[in-house]
Amino acid sequence: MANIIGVSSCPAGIAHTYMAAESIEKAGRRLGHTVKMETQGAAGSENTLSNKDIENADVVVIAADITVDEERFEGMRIVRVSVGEAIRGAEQVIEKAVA
Amino acid sequence: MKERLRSSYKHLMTGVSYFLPFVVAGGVLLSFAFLFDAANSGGEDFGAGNPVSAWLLTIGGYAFDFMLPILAGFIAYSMADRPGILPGMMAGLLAREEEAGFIGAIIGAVAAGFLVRLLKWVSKNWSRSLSGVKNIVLFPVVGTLLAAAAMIPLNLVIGPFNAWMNGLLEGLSGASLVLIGAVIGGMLAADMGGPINKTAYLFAVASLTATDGSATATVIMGTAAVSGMSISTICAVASTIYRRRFSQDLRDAGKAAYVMGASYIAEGAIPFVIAKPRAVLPSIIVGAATAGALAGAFGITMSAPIGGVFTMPLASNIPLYLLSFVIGVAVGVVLLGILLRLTEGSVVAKEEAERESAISATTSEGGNS
Repeated sequence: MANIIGVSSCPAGIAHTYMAAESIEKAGRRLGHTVKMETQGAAGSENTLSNKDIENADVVVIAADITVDEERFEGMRIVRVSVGEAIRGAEQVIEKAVA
Repeated sequence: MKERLRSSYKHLMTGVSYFLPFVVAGGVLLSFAFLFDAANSGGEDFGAGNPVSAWLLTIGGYAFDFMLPILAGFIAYSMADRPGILPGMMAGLLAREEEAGFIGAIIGAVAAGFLVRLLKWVSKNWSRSLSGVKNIVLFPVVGTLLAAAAMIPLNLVIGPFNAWMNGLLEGLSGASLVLIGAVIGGMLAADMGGPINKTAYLFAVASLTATDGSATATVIMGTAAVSGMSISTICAVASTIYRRRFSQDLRDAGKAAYVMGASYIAEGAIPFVIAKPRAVLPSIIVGAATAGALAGAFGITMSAPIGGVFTMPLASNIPLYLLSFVIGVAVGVVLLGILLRLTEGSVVAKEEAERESAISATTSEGGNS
């Protein structure tokens, strides 16, 4: 069981950002992991990852079609996927992340 | 190669992501300016005939003025991180001032991004004591100078190219406009606010910059405005007409979809596409393509870079604009009805099946917990 954190972000930041986060969180929990996804939409950052979240995490999933600042995750294992991959194939993304 | 393509796309979309609010706010404020000046329609100073309109016209115009600098600034930011913002914005502003338009701003931003990366690489091994100098002087000052210098030859080439392309787009007529309208409409609907949608949308918005950098009305934007509005609306109307086909959740989503359709947000269709992809996706694509093709056939122009009811006063022909929209929605809704019947069978059979699955779902859930 892994501790997964991540960030999702799409160009418009209205719908796909949140769908990707939800889809990753659901799939991760289904596979028995703990997941926390931060959404960076038009409203800015929500469900923001705390320093503690980042310290305790095993892997970072970035599901984005735009550039996400990865400074916070320096030295960590990062898996990068598109928003579409996160929405359609969340389980594969999780499997890739914990492999 | 694929990886490279993907990252270039990401840079472009980062720019789009940050410039979208400026486009939307500018477009809506400008259309309000014309709306409040309706009595003065056709007058020489239409849109600025009274103090309120003039004020709205000014701030809407200012929001537009930020458009290219913000687009370019955040493309460069995506490429070179924070030091990219200023050189990128400078490139965008110069592209606007020198009539190189969207293409100039995008290419200039890429140049600025690379130049800042180059500066970072050159200064990589500088000692720590110089890092203050690097961040406060080298990147902003030298970065801006380099980006601005790069824009001199770029503008010389892209300026005329932009003028040529604008001429070409203005000269389009008849069948080619119908085709472009259909393709734009179909692309806008294809992934409801995703990458294909944004590519088509950016193309339409790019057509709005005249060679002198001022805003101009184009048929291409007209087709995008009409077809973009129809996407969520098709789902909304369908959820009202074919009530029994949709769950309570989707009927609620349908109410939201009316508002989203009217506000030019394609994302309202997403819950419907997720629930019934085989019926909904083809219907919204065909419906939006129909609306776009009609708007192209009628030659309706739009000067705001966004559709929806707020900017409707800016359409060159409001009745035909509405007609294209209504026909597109009608085509989409009818097709959706047919496809629902084909994919799910008659309503009665479906309701029975749903009752059964609801029963089995409750039993299995009960088993789990």
